[in-house]
Amino acid sequence: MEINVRNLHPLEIRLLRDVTLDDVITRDKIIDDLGYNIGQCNQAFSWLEAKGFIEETERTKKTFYELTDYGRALREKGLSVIRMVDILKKGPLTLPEIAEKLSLEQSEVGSSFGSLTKNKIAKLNDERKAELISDSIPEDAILQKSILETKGDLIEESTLTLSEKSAIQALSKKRGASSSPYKISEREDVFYRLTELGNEAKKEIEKSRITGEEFGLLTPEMLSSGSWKEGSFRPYGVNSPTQRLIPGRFNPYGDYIKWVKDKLTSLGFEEFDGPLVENEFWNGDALFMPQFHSARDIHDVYYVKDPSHAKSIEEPWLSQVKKTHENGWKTGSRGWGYKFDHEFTRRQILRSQGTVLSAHQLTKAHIPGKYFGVVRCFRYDQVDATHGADFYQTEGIVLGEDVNLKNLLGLLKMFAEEIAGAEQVKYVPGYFPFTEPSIEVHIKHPVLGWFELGGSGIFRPEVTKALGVDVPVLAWGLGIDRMALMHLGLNDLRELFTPNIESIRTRRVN
Amino acid sequence: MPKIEVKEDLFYELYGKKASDDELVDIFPVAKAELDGHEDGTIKIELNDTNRPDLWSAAGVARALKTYETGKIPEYPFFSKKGDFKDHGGRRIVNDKSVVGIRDFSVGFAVRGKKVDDGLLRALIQAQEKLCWNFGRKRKTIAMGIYRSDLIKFPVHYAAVDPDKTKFVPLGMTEELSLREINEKHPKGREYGYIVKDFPLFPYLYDDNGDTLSNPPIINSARIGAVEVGDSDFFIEVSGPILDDLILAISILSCDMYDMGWEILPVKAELAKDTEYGREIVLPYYFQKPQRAKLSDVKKVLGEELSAAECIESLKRMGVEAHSDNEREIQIRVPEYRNDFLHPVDVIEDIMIGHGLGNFTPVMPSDFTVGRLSPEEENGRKVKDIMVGLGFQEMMYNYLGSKKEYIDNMHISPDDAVFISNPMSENYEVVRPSVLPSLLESESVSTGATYPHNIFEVGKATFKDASANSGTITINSLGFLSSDQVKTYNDAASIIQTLMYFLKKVYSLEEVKEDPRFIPGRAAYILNKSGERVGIFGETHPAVLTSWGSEMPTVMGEINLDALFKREEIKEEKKSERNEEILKDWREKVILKVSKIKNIERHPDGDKLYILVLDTGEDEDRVIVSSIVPFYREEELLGHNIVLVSNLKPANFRGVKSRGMLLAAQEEGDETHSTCEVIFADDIPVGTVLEYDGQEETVKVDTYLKAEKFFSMPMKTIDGTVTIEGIPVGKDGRHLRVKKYVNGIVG
Repeated sequence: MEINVRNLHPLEIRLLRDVTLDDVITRDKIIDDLGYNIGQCNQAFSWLEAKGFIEETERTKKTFYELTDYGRALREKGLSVIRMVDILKKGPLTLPEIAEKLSLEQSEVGSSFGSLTKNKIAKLNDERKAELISDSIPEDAILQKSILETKGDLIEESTLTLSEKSAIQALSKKRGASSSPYKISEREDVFYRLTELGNEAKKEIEKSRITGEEFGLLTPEMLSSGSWKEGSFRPYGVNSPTQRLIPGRFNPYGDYIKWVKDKLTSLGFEEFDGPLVENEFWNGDALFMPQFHSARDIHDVYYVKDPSHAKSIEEPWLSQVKKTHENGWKTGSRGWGYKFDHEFTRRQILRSQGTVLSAHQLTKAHIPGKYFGVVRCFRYDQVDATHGADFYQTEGIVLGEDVNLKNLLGLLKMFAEEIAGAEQVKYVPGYFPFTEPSIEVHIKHPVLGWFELGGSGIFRPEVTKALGVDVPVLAWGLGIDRMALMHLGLNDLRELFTPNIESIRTRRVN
Repeated sequence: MPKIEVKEDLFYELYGKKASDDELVDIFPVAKAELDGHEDGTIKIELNDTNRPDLWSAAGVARALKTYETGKIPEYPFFSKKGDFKDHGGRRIVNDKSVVGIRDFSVGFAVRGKKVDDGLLRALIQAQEKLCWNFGRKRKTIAMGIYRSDLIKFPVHYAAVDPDKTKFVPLGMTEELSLREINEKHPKGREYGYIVKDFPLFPYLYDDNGDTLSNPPIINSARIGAVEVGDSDFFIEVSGPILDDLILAISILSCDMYDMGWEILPVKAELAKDTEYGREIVLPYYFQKPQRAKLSDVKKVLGEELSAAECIESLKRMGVEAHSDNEREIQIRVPEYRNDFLHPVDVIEDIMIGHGLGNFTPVMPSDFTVGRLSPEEENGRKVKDIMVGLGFQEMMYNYLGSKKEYIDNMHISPDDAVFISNPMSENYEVVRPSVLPSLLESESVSTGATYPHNIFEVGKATFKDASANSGTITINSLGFLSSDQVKTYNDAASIIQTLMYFLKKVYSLEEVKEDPRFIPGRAAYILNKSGERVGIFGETHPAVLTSWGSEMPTVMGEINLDALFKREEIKEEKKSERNEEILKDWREKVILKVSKIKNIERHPDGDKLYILVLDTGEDEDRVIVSSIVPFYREEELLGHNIVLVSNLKPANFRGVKSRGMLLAAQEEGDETHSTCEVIFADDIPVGTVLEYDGQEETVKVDTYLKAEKFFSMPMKTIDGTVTIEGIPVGKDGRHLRVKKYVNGIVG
């Protein structure tokens, strides 16, 4: 079997190099041999055991008595009981006097005196002073004294006699041992041995001349001192699991829209934008959609509750549009032949089509001029996988003295190729209330196949002339959402505006 | 868009031939139609032209296709025209004057000679529906009834009658109901009753025997109005307020039925009011006026030179008869079933379709124009770049939502929000007044996403603004939100600080006193240089988090980017005109050096004078004399860093040469020198030369600075910060600050 020892941690390598098949491997041995601390020992054991390089042979539990600081002080001063006997040999004293003379806590004097009375060595006389009955010292105390003075700082329980054991227990506590001479602790000793596999690894390590002394982290100190030259670096496992990072990111759909905008500006278009609240005038009337006609019902709109009407409509556009609707005004049209409603035209709605902004732009456009907007629109539709409550429309206009149908076809071809990457382009007659002629462009997309990329046309003179423009205006709109969905690997329009953070964080583009 | 369905057999019969679906897909566009489906013997067609009701029927589509392919214009000989009425054979419909103002006109025609089968009946009902629903605006302007003419005794009478006293058995029911009861009980009454319900009298149609035909625009009678498979002779009647629409509807339906094989029988309408066609008119009636188009306009619009003959030929394929008296203009006769030639461009479009779109070569527009993003987009991108760099995820949200999300959950008043009066559901009834609820919605649906959450959006928000023409304003806004186990005001303040630093925007903060969206005392308004509020941020109020179902501490903020960018652009322009001269002098001629006071002693000959020994970071110590004995004890100064005007021209103070001056602030207008606050700079290293924020690399003029010159460049403290011309002075983001004379002058 191939053992890749290069991925072993230095703690493992050094341990493997240290032991042989015959060794009983214990923590103490490794600490002695290699100077590991307990934590490093445990880590090395668990890693090596998991790899099958060492295996557990036995485990034993041991109890230890460890001298505390308080115990150390007692070793110096002597046990309180013995000191008390010594001082009482000079004559009876009250307990507070003893405490004062021996600099002991009252409570300690009390408990020591208790022990003396119990062993019938001292008693309280009639003057309520302590006096000795016998000058012997309690056996316990003798033992304790001897333990304190002769045994080391760490005593393993099995090295004590039974009576020593009971004597030391009186001086020990498991927890809160700071006022006791000894702290009791238990330790489990685990014994391991090197396995055959481990021995293979050991041989491999020796063969590869890996010492485990290789550098781990490169530190600034190593660079400043140059010590990095004095050794080699431990190789890392290049396939080890990585940590997940959550970066700051642009929204992928937003990125797509940004790309479209950049594309359009690169093609010479200037961006427009506008408010979400519009009125019937700009949303429909200015686009020569008759106020009370089926063409107006091409889509339904959301009405604003309050204020329900705009204060006014900009002149001269209002008068010119009104006359155009009623009788054609000077546009060459016969008009729609109805009485224009001034109340209706001020009614406020949420913008239902990007063309509204094209209409606004006509009143301030340069000739020649190319303009576009990627703008949010609202339609009165049931929300489902193919209809959002609100959505982006990409629209624009081209103004020029001599622009015509053939230019419109050229423009559509350019969009089809540049923005959609179309393989083939097909034009069919379309219908929009504000353009005549109207053209739809269908494209063959390399992934999506044939679909309608957009609608377009030449603005009706009833639209342009009424808004003060005397040159032809090409108007176009592109449906980019299908391509955006494909780009993002989605099939539900609602996903474009999902509030789900995880979904957006992990979204990748095709 | 209107959609129709037709039995394939009937369609092929009308079309005159069978065609494959592929052939239909190819030919349909000439009628602006699309094949929407073809299954179980039914062809589904979608019609795109909402101004061509003649195409919303199987017969209409078939006619357009057939004409296009054959170039043969169909003839409809049964039309009357002005001064030439066809024989109506005694069939009359008499409009009573009571209908005027209620539903002004009812006109009709009759047919005979073709037994109706299931497919035909459906096609007829569909044509009727499309005309009334789409073209007739849901029966408001056109309602149509088809009746069994063999049961009718002419003349038919059209009158407005008492809706409570007039009764008949409506189609689909067995009992007699009054017109008002029909509005309440009959499904069609409930659907269309609103059109007539507010009139005192309701329109009513009955024959000379007094038998009911219908109560337009609601429902036919159960007898005369019940048309069934096997019937062959009908009377068709339309009613509505606009006569031209009715005449066109009759024209369309009569052409369709003629194409289907019926004989058309004219009916005379005796109207209740004067019209441009007089008081009596025989229908079907040709009412269209001719239209024309100049050949020069054809070329201008289509970009292609077409001869008059080519135009006429193209129009013929569109079913439009045309002629030209010269090579300058085409005149057309509008087909009986159309009324959509409003302008010469409408003729030109028909020429385009007839000529074939494929015969026009795409050409790129040749005008040169400059592409440009809007300022809002440019600014938005700057902001987004910084936010992403700060580790934030950009989100995009819908702008339409519920009152619960945008108002209730935010614990704010609905007064400033823009509501929709006709919401489709309560989930979408408010335009969002702020980006913040959108971000909180993310929190409510993303509790499973690894924290921290750092999200933002640059998008639009709309709210009321009485000063605007629309009474509302749409702003471009940055909203951000950050949530985790521990999130505090300071986290948000750091974000704002960083953002503003890189956007180069000077701002200040003002505690928010009351905003239910934030924890009181832990939110601030962001003020621009003019002191206007352009944003807000802070710790989200737990009540708001609870409403959203979020259990994670959250900070959030929002900045009106329009206000942030627009206002300051103007201000900065002004400022730069005013400041440039002084700033240039200051940065070139004044050397302010942070120095440490190493030694201090009283001047032997001056009560108010200290002699200070300074470590300026140069090799040699510097001695200056300063008259600040009345204000500071030695120990208050010794060991501190002060700011030395280090190139000030040396001057003698009672025998001691002072090489420089320390900066101190005083109250503005203090003529008696009774106020003085030494400007300490203990957090700036000794030897540092100070500059104003955003100062460009400058080579200092290597000469002494005269005191008058120095004082001609007034430095001031603004809200505790030492400034020159309003710009903070310091180094690497550490500004000189004072505690006492926070809005004073420096000298």
